[in-house]
Amino acid sequence: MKFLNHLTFGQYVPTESLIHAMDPRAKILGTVSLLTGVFLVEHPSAFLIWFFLLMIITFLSKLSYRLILGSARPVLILVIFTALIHIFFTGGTPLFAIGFLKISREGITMGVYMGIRLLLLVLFASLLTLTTSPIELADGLEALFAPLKPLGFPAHELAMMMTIALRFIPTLLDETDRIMKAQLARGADLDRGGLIKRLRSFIPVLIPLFVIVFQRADDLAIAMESRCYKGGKGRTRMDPLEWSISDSVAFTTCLALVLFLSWIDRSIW
Amino acid sequence: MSILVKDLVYIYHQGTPLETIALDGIELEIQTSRWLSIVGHTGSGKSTFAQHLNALIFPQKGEVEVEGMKVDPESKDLRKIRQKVGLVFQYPEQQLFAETVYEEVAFAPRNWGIKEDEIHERVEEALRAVGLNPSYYKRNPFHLSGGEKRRVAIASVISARPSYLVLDEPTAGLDASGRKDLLGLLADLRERGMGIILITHDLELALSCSEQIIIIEKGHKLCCGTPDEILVRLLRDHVHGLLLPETALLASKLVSEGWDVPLTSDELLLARFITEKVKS
Ligand SMILES: Nc1ncnc2c1ncn2[C@@H]1O[C@H](COP(=O)(O)OP(=O)(O)O)[C@@H](O)[C@H]1O
Ligand SMILES: [Mg+2]
Repeated sequence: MKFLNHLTFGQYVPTESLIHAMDPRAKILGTVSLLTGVFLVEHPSAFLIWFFLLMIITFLSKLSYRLILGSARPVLILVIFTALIHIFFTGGTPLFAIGFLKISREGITMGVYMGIRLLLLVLFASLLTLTTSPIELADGLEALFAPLKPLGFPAHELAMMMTIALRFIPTLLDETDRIMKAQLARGADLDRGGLIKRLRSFIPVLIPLFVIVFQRADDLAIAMESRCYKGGKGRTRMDPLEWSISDSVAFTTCLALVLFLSWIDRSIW
Repeated sequence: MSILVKDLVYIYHQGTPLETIALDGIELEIQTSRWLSIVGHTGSGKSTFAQHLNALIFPQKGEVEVEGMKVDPESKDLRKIRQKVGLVFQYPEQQLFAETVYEEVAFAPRNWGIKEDEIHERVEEALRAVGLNPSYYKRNPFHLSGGEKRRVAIASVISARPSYLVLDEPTAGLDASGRKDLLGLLADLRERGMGIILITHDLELALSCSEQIIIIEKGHKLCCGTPDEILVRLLRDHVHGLLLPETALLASKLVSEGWDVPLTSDELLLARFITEKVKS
């Protein structure tokens, strides 16, 4: 029987590395530019360069390659599904057909491209979350969206909600694991029978989980209020974000790489 | 009949930066109709150990055998093992879900495929054992007090009539009288032949009620013996995070001052010896 006893997708792994030490804003902007770059790829061999880049950043962040590649496992189904959709539903001259499904050369190329693209997107994104704590991530996003505050954009509130959500996901997974085990110990049968039977058998897990979630939310709200939390206005920070030279260098490097790679992609190959 | 544990090793998140060695070579034999307490500091691996006895997690190295049935993911006997070994989790009231106390307690026997008229008998027996009378049957468990919820949760495990009952920190969050009631209940079950495995960080509690005690620290078995043996051992070598009862400290102080009193954590016994000494 498999429990939720594995690393959650992209969960922060605290280590000391160049990448971990970067300003979250630089990491977010860098990741966004890399993700854009992945979308601009046109030539298949360019994907190799992107994978190579991923490996270099992984090396710099002192994470194991197994960990980073493993972080894509939960979305592998999605990747394959996307690839299949494109293979089957892209028009073009059909090579052969299975029933009513026509498969064309364009379809296969498109499917493989989209699959690899999505995979790269997930890998780069999880590199960000693996090396940046949820708090830093939320602070970074809040700071990046701060210019929109005068327009009524709730940057602080969104960042706070994100922090809380991210903070509670591992806790909730732990709670789910614990309650599932407690019900299994009382003989519950959680993985047999048809869909309806399975859904029904999860009631003993879901009800206690909801009770705990509401209890937790209530406790948190009271704790925040009793510490005079009143939203973002006038709020100061213990660790203000500091953008250093190395962050500028890192971000500029990312940007330059993206521009350079898409230029090669278009003009040389 | 017994539970055998041989060289049990369990590591969380093996091979990742979050790797934690929870159990590191535990050896143990647990008899039915005995009261064993497993004592250790928070994080020493007690809960991880408890989940092996109930086949909720599986040994990564070593073996756990419940009455000859191996705890192994491939085993056909997993449900039989879970039926033999009842496990009361820490804060068991958080697992309540049914609309009535009766349904909650009937959950386990129903899962084990017991017939309806016998279920009724078992529910009655289990609720009587925890001291809840029939007026509770139709009540909503979520509306009960904390102590009552805990009792319903324990009844919902013993209604399966396990041969062994493992309780993970069952006294956490109970007041003194709730604690006393619970220990009384466990002593009754023990009398009726159930093996009690009490997991606690409270040495004083374990000393006061067990027949055998095992101290674990950082996943290792530190020592094991009768309460008296454990007391003597712990008076000699201090174990981090385990507080000795005041009575035992007093007794040991008196002995070192040359008094002839037993090293005990039983305050009545010690008081009797002291009075005798003072009189003579
Ligand atoms: N689900 C889990 N994932 C990762 N580590 C865990 C998990 N459960 C327990 N641990 C770790 O294993 C060790 C033993 O924990 P546990 O068995 O809960 O000890 P105890 O019950 O004695 O407090 C601790 O260091 C704890 O942090
Ligand atoms: Mg525990």
